[in-house]
Amino acid sequence: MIESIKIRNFRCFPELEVYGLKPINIIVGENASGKSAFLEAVFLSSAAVPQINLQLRAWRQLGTQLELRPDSSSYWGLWEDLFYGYDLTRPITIEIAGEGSARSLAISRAMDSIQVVPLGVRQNPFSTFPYPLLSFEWSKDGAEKIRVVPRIKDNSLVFDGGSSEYFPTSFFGPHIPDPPQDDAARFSELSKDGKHQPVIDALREEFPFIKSLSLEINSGTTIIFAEVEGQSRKFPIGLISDGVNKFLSILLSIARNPHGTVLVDQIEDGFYFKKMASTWNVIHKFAKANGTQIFATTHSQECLDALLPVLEVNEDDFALLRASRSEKSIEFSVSNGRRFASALSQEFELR
Amino acid sequence: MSLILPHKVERIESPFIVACEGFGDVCLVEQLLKLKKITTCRVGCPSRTGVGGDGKDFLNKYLSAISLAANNGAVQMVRGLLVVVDADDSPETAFKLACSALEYAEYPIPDSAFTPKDENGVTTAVYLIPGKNETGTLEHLSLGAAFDSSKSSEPCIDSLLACIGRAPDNEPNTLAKMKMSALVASAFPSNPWATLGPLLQSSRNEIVPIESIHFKHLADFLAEFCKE
Repeated sequence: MIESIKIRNFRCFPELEVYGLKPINIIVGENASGKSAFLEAVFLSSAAVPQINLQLRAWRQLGTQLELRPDSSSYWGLWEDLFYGYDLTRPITIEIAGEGSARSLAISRAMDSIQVVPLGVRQNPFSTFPYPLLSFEWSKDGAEKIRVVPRIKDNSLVFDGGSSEYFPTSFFGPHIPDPPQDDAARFSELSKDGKHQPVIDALREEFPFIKSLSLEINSGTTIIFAEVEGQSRKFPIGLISDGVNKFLSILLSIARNPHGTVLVDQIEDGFYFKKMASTWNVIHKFAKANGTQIFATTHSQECLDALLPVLEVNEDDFALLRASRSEKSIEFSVSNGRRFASALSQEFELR
Repeated sequence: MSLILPHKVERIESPFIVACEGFGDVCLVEQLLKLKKITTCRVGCPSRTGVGGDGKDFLNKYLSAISLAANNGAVQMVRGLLVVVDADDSPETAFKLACSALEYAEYPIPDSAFTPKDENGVTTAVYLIPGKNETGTLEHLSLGAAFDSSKSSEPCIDSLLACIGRAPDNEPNTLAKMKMSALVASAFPSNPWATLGPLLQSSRNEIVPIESIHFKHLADFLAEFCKE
């Protein structure tokens, strides 16, 4: 479990140290206070593949259609927003401490450089000058370092090396559900290992009208279908409800990342407010059973209030991270479960 | 506004806090802070979820919530936390209860009531109403001020309660509350729900003068506690 995180020169954080993390961590704070950036830092440190930054770019609405040219501005345009203040001279470091979770990521300008000289095409001479590349270097105890230096080749990004299995983590960005194939793949892997039934049971605890889940082919794509009470034909899970779909995605990720991490930005999205208390209850119970750590952001007081029943009887499992922006920096104050529960029960404003 | 009320508190950035057991105490303390021109202090009580129960039972969670709201990143904003509770029938029991709430919220625990304890840059103290070595409640203190201000009202109230025949002989706290209710009703004839707290805050309060000698000890204690 991640117990503390130190971040330097990443996104909006010149320097951030967060201690006292727990199995379930709720992150609150106003807009632009670094909540999503914090999740991104954990995510980048987990999957040792730089290409996940392209996923983050999509969530951040920085564009998904990339037109890559073999020049410095095209290359660095992909990465420079990772650096605090766009200052590429200071390396990014993300250090994670915790039993079984210790790891680090360093992102810096590499000594490697690249010079591309297309032949037979009139070129801006400056675009063919050598330009430095970016190095991603992941380390964790008992494992070899992984170093990846992304390059542009033939209008594509090329990544040599990396390991998506480096540290089991799933990230749910705001508003955009995971592609249905991803959930189908998770379900399939669990099913092969005979571990899918607890997911169905947990889903049914919250949505008892769903009788069972199965993988079916729909227009050539394998997706999850649900057998619904009172219906003779199965439905694609996404057709039933966004909330059911999101809840299932979270459950599948928890089950697929035992002793790993699940990151959820704006967890309240898609859930009916009256259901939120039982949703928290199932997520807590299921995450605990799988040893999976949760980091979730929220802007919703209803979502926080709904947490109180499960928080009050499991204070040691929770922490509240309050992000706040000052003129000079961004601070995260961490409160333990007891204080968190007290503040909620006393109706303090926590968002 | 110095009150810390539910749905209002996000961060506490005033250096001094007074945590009371009930809303009546909050109103009195707020008026005394105004009287003493103290602007560095905020006052509050456990949330309305506690209404109907004993306010003391919710103090532990309230103080714990304050410690969260006062924590601004690495900086602990609160330098002084004063807990104000009724002594009721036993000052010793009331003091112990206040101390256990402070302990729950991980604040320093004073050695005795009315004696501040300074530890790790935070000073805490417990004030027992009506005052040193006394039993009773806010109503006892306020009745003292009211009857001092209007000598004729005390026998009048006594005879009213004797007349309606409901005055308990052996429950001084209940008796004090009944007397206070009668006084409050006279100030708010059209408001059957009026209580001592709103009376203390009302501009029409001519019944319980805040400047009374009966409140002087608490007012002076607040001024001393909130010294920069």
